[in-house]
Amino acid sequence: METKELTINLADYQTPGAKVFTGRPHGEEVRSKSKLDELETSTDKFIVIIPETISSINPSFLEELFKNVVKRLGKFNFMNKFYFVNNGRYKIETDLREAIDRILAEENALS
Amino acid sequence: MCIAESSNSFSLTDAADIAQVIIAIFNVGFAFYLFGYEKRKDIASFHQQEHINRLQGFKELVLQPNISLINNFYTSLTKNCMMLCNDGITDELKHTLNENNKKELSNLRVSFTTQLLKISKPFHAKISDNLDHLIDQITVIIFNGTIDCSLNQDGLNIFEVLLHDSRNQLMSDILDYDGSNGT
Repeated sequence: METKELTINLADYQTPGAKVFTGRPHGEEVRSKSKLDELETSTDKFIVIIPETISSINPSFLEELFKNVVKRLGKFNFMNKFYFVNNGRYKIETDLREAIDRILAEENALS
Repeated sequence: MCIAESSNSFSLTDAADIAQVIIAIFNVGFAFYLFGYEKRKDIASFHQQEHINRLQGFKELVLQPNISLINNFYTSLTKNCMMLCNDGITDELKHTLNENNKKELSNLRVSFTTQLLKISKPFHAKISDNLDHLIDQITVIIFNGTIDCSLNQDGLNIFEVLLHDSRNQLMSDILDYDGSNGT
């Protein structure tokens, strides 16, 4: 069965000259412009490319960017579906884990 | 000779009967009003007690055990930010200090901020937004240009201003919290 793959390059959403992604408004903007929520349901594998010039992607940005897909998929399925290409100095794993924990903590608190 | 009373005349007895009915209807109506009033009062009292309980729970179970952690958070960030103002700071150190700041926020979130979700979602959002905004602003300053640590008219550099404002806002939000759950 053919696997449907989609790539999101965060460089497409990078503010000119900026070396960081921060803040919920920016996360929401990227989520909306990339149509991440809509595309996730019809995609088997997502590849997220992190520009090598990036020095930090803060949890506030990631939390807003991924909140709907994490709630829908859960942590395990999210990590199996989303792959991060991260060849620069900055490594996303810690901030991504923090964002996922925040999303699920809020989800659990409301249930 | 008896003169029979006309059946159409309105006597005092009739008036008394009508008055009695009116008074009875009034009494029933008043009883219902009193019942409703007391019920509303009970509900208001219940909600007030809920607020009091929630506020007390917040103070004793969440705030009190975390006061030193909150203070340590700001102290650690101040220390990290002061290092950023040193001459000749390397990119390596910038990355390390930025990651340290995010780690401090994560520790505070686990112990303090996340607990607020059980108390009040809007209250949690307020506190969380403040702390995220602080870390985000520091991150932007670190990486998006030259770090300018010159002092303002109050003798504070940019980091001190951000930390001072964030801490004041946090204290203000905590003191303003009235025990509501935001619904």
